[in-house]
Amino acid sequence: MTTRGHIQHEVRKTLECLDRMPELKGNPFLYTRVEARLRELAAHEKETVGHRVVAVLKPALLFILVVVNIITVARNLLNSTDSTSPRSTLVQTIVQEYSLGPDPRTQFFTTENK
Amino acid sequence: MLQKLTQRESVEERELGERLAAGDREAFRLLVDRYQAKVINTCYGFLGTKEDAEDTAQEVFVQIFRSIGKFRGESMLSTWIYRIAVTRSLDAVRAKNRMKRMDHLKQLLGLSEIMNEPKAPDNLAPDIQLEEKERVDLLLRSIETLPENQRVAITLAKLEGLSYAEVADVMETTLASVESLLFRARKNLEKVLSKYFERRSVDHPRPGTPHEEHRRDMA
Repeated sequence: MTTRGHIQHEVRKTLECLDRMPELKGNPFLYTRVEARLRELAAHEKETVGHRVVAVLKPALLFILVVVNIITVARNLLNSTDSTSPRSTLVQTIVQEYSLGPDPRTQFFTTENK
Repeated sequence: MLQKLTQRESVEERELGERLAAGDREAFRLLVDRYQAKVINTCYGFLGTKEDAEDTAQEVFVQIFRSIGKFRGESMLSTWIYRIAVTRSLDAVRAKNRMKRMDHLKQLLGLSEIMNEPKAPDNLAPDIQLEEKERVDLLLRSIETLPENQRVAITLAKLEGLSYAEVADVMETTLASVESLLFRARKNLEKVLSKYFERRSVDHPRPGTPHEEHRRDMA
């Protein structure tokens, strides 16, 4: 047989294997492996959901804290400078009611004695 | 070899699909037992080793379980299973090729030792015919060189024994397209194998051939 003929013979014989490919048998442990993998994936997903919740909650809580602080500081600042605030008005009312303010007569006496 | 399903088998398949969709674990076990050989053999046709085929088959059944809700019953359950097996096998092939390219790059950069890849059995004496096993290995390696769609068609039709119509269903294409793919796949395999045997005949010339005489003279 010539080399060319030999090559063609080998190619044909090899292609004939397509019709006689060995069949692998199933694995009796495959189902167990599949079940184990499903459990692993389920556990991993739970963990991932937990991490995601924490990842979202953390910055959200931080944001809320900062906003509350800002509001508190702003309100304190406003209350200390605003004379018409309810607190200021209450203080003034009490001073007037009980004459707690500086009395001109006592002022006269205190200055006379000096 | 997959035989054409009888009417009774089609009904059984449909019932199995319904039980699976309802979350019946026992039905899933039955599905794995019934189809694992087919799935493993399909994966083997793409991946070439039993270990890789079983690893990929495991992923196929995991995907089947997790996505059974998406199975609408528009195709046969077996067709749907084959589609998942083919998709997963191709993904595994691409991942393997990526690893090979990374390894090759690492070798070029001196980042890893040279890995010796298993070679074709070309250390056999030239007058000894290839054993059947070596032919099968050679054939599987040659199929790896085919374009993806030709590879899928030939694996399903020849290695899994599906009819052309079933292959067309799995590949979601026409019968004519499958016939064309198989024709081109065979031609390409002939080319690849011819080149391989030509190279072998130069490296290991047969007695009495011009190549062999030339080598004897040079020695």
